[in-house]
Amino acid sequence: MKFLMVCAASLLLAPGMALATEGLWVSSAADSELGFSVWYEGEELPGRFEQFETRLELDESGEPHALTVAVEVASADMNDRQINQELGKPEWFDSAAFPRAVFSSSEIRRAGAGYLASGRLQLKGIDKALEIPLEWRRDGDSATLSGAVVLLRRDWQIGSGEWASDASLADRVELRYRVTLIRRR
Amino acid sequence: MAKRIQIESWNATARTLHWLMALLILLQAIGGWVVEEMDSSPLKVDAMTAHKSLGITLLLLLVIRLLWRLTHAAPPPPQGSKWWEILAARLSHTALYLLMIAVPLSGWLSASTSIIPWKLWWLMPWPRIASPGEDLHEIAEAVHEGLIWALAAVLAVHVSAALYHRFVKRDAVLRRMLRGNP
Repeated sequence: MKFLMVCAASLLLAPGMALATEGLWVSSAADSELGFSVWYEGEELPGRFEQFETRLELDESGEPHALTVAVEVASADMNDRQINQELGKPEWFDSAAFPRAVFSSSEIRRAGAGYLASGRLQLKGIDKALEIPLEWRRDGDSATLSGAVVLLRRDWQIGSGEWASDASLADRVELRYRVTLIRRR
Repeated sequence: MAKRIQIESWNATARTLHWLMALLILLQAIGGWVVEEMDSSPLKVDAMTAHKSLGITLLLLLVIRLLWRLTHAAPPPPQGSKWWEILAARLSHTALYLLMIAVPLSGWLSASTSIIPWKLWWLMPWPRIASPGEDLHEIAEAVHEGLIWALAAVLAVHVSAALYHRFVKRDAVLRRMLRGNP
């Protein structure tokens, strides 16, 4: 509940978002996936975030206009309890101090067959620009938003101290998303 | 099966395998305990890779040792051994062999069920005997630890018995494994 309220608050705070829009779409948790991969000594290790919420506003012409994604970083799951526990520590997500990562777009423009959302990702208290490619498929009052993006973990200091080097754990992290959105209004 | 070769004392192969494995098991026990206490770091992952590699090496050495043992009969018990001494030796040696298989196997299962990748001595990808899974991993770790304590207990009996033969019974049992001549 608290999570939803924070999401709603972040949506209201985003300037201009609630004004010129045609509809608000919200992710359906059961049919949405936010996966990631890291590479340890060349071997891919996949994981996923179990709890996150995506909100998308459409403009008057029905085009994606504003995107907000809020992720509970403590819900990261790599199918290994010890590693999951490690991920919450200050060297990694520091989930006690920074429980939530938020991406907010400032602009969404067409790019090829899909869209490109430019915005900022706030993660572990660090706010950096990020562009996210999006495939948007609408079918009546439900839709899917999908894509993948590679980012560098050092930009958000995920893996600090002895883990900062990319000698064994690669700097690049791939995020993959396939989100089912339901129209709210 | 062909008749096993009867020997009066442990030959150089048997003695080398015995003492090499004794040394490596001691190193492995200390190393495993140290790694377990380390904080997460790339160094810990490497230390764990060394521990896993040494465990598999010990398992392979044991296979060689068992092959040797299957083709060679153990030297006879010293003259005048009591029936319970012979039985105790039999039981403890069987337990040692079983535990030297079970401890690395449970470690291998523990490594298999973790997602952390490793290669044998950083060179050779080593197959998993199960797929990564949290519940099985926790069971495997608990079993590994329990078996290590069991091995430590039987080793304590083994060392005590060797010292008993050397200093109380003053027979050739320990000398046969140290120098070979009975």
